[in-house]
Amino acid sequence: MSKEKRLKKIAEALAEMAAGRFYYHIEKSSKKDNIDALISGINMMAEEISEALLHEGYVNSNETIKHIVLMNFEIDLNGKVKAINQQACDILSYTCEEIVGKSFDCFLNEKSVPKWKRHWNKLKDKKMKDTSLDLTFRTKHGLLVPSACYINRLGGKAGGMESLIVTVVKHSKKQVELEEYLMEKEKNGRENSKREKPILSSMVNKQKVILTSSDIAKIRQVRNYFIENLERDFPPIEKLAREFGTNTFKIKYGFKELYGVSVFHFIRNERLRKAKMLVEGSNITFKRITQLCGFKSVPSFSTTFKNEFGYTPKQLRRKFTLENS
Amino acid sequence: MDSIENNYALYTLNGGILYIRYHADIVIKYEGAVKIVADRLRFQQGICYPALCDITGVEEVDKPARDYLASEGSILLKAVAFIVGNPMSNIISYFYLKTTKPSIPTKAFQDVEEAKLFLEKYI
Repeated sequence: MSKEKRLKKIAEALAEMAAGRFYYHIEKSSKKDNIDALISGINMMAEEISEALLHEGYVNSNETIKHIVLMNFEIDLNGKVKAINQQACDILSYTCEEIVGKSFDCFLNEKSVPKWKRHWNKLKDKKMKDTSLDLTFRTKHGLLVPSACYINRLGGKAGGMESLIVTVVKHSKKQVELEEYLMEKEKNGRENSKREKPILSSMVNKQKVILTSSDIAKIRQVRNYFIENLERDFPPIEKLAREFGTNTFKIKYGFKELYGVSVFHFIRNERLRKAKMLVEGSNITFKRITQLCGFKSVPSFSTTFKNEFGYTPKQLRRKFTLENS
Repeated sequence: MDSIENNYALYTLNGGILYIRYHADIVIKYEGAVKIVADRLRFQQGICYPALCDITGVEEVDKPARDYLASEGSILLKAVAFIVGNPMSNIISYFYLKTTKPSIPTKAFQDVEEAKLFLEKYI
């Protein structure tokens, strides 16, 4: 592919990202030159931003609303697309007519085609029921859309497979669109609008504490401090809050919002995670692991470890060694 | 045991430094990242080393692998010197250093001797 074409693809992907759609990837060539490095950087950046947007949506859900973009494909017994939703056409930049009737694998990249074919054969032979699969779609303009696909078999009267549904969930950040979409659904008074009304009202009524980006940065600093000092006895949260220039409430609330657990459980989980790595992957004594991971004593470490993983450290190390020898 | 090898890299111990040299055209996904760390830990036998990590052969590290390496990648290491020699490895090390904020001293070098000099402090 010429340099101009490669740069054009980069420009297209950047335009999509500027419009809030971070699920596109640019395909690399095999040249491994500066343009490929730039493409890698853009692809990685898109992944990071995509996740950061979701994360922000989770933290301040009354400010930023997640937009779930769905791609749905119905696939017939010959592997051809029987029906498709409009959003999938938009994401792939094709018209509905250009997709329906074509083989599903026409819209995948080279690496995904054999993967899809393998799964397709198993699904057809009933060796596999519902499954999920990482596939990469290719748009009309040649951009890539790596996607986790959920594949469901639809059965018919005789119990055989009638068709397949492939579902892909994507996210972007278009608050206005989402609100319009919800309003539209409400107006239409569909059967399932009953379920949507409470969602809409909860978005309006739910008053959550707002964590500013500076609060989030401080909570992350506290988290990093915990992870880097697991062997230590940590001071009370009040003292830590003062040291990091925040308050107890924000740390406690922020940990629940950002990491889904209390500060106590976060530290405990991190200690256990590190301990498990060292138990499985090294021959460091359990006494030393107890110290390195900040447990009070070997017996208390052993008990907590067993409660969490179902094995004592000794049993797990033996099991791991046997499995890997 | 002075060296081991898996599908991703060759691990060697020399002069108190752990050398990890990735093979050519390596794409690291989550399962690969787990294997890379697990084999390294087994090779180290519980001893903490500074590591010289030649990533010039690495072509891509996907998001789940990056996340795994960010949280588990530096366990039992005193310091890491990445050797980068081409645009791809350069951008990968850039990203790692910028997005993961490693908890141990970590730097990227073009020159192996400079990298060794940096690691010598941690032997």
